[in-house]
Amino acid sequence: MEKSKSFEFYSQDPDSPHPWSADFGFTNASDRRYAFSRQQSFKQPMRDPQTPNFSNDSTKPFLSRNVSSIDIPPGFYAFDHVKEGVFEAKGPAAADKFSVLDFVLWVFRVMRTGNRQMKRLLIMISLNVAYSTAELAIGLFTGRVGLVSDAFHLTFGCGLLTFSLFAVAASRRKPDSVYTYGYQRLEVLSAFTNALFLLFLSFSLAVEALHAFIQDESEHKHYLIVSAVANLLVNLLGVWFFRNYARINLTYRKPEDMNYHSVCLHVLADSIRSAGLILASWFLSLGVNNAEVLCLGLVSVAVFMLVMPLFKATGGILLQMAPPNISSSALGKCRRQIVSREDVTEVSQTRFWELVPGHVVGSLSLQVKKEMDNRHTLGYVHGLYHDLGIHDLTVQTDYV
Amino acid sequence: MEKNKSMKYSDSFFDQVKEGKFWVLDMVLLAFRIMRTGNWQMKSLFFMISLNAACSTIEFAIGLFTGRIGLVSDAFHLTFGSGLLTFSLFAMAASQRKPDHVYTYGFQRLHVLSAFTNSLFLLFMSFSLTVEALHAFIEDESEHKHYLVASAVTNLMVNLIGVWFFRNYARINLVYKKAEDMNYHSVCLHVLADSIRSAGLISAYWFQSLGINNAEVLCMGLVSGAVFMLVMPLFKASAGVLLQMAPPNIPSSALTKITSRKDVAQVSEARFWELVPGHVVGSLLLKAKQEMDEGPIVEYYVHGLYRDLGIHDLTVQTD
Repeated sequence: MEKSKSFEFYSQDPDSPHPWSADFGFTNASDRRYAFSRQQSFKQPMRDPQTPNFSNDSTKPFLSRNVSSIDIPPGFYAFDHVKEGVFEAKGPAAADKFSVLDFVLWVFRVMRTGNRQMKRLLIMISLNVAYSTAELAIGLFTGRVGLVSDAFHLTFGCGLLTFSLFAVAASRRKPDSVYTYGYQRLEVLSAFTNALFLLFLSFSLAVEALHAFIQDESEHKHYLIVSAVANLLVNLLGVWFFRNYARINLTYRKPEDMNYHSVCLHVLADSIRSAGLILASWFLSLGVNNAEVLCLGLVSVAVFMLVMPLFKATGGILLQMAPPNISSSALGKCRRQIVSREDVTEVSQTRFWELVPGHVVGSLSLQVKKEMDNRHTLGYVHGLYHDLGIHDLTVQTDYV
Repeated sequence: MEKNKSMKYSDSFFDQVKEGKFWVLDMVLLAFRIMRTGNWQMKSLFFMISLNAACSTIEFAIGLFTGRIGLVSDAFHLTFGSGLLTFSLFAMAASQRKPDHVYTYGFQRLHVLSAFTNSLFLLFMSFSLTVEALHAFIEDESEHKHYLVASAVTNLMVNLIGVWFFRNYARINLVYKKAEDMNYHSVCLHVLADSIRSAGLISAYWFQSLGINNAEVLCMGLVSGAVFMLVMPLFKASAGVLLQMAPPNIPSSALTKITSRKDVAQVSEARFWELVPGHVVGSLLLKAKQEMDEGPIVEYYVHGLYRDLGIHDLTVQTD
């Protein structure tokens, strides 16, 4: 019974109280790519530990359990629309505490059964690590400091990519009592961190360019060219892996879009830097004097221009900005339509923010006249915003 | 019923600044405005930034004229650090704007973002100090530049002044009561880390002159470890706020109290998150058993329950 197996992984709230939201999670059953892979290892569904345990029987369909008033889950809720299958988190011993070690172990388990992009990231990271270890060893044995510091810079970039990978794996975890909206925001944070690192890289390249400008003689280390070529090849492989995201201005539809975009920009910037170094040494050998300054300066500016849109977009989400793809005039129109209803006196405290790209959360407060049944009003309001793409709306009705 | 935050800067000023062609003049005017109307933290931060800028310009000029590269690169690192402090100052100024259509919760979150950026920079600095230490370990001869010690002493003085200004925030584990606390804490840790780094350089030079061979490696390694330990709690706290983590003071017993009421059938979709430290936002979905006559009573009870816990911004939807 394939359908019931996929129910086991469906997030917890079976009878969603919104009759207007048509997504009861059955769409998960159609996502056949992931229905097969992760069933055996995760058996224990995670519920709030105060609730008595449901049966672990995987053949019994999950939906047969109606939430009744006797046995009341405190209602820690998981997402309706889970895109790629949900992982049952192993229940932490202390429910309210957040154990980092548990989290890290869980994430490593998830990485073994990852999706395509995760596997590509893993390949990239292992290539980088192998390469930087080799470079470090060679630098130590031959005593060349340039290679050693280059190896360290590479390791540092690797660490950032590992954090991105970690974020992709961790963001599948279901929401719990500490992270009530789930872990998807980690992807946005990792994209922001990558963008910040790229900004720092661009500034430090500018400093290097000025450094080369001041030092008139070029202290040129020829063995670095070989490492630059190898670096360029590895990073071009990474760009090829993530070629879908190799744009500057990208519309982000899903949360992982931002993370993958930041990884792509990272490897792209690294490859531009290596290409710049190779070009600079070539120009120098041709006799152009300020080649290093020019090339590094150009690379620095290019990396800055590359990363700015991503930086602004992730910063906007982290600052609880209203989603940019919904115009404020549309929101204003909705608000006017609500106010124009005869039973609504006032609309206040309208707040909209994006949890992750594609998931908008909103809340507003209505003042309603007392004698009307507020179900129609609620349905109308939810429907209005549902058309705009805001599915997660909480409406508070106060009676005048 | 919008919560009006007291604002010191009118929105139109910022709009003019953004659209102005002569943005340099606008920045100067903004600087004067900060000096006049900012609170003491902003004023002392502004003073610190100008002091840093003056030091780095002087160091840059001296380095250019005497041809010493070490001074020039040190000047650039100083400029980079004061650029970050400028971003913190900008966050302090800009976060007082009132909420508008785009930023429906206001701009207070800029404090948290700036604290996160500062702590991330300090982490980067700690890693690069480790790299420097390993660098010094590999290069057996110490290419010691004696003129850098003078600049390290000056740097130490300037940063100690900064630590003195922000001495209220000179702790590792701090309880954040307001949004600005995180920002001020990050600024204090920044200047503290810089002063530790300068002190490390000076003591490495001193040990080297005493004849201890691996002094630079040891000192740089210690400084790097110290900066990392300093900055970790702030990093975790600011990342937690940015990741919509629920604050720890919400017991799940509150929800059981609500559900144990006779007229409540179900509570679901309980979400809590901190907009900024001290301002918790929550939303709940209530299903009442009887008809809506009891609705307002239950809502009033729920709001009161959470207000006692410190959550004032709660949206409750009753079906």
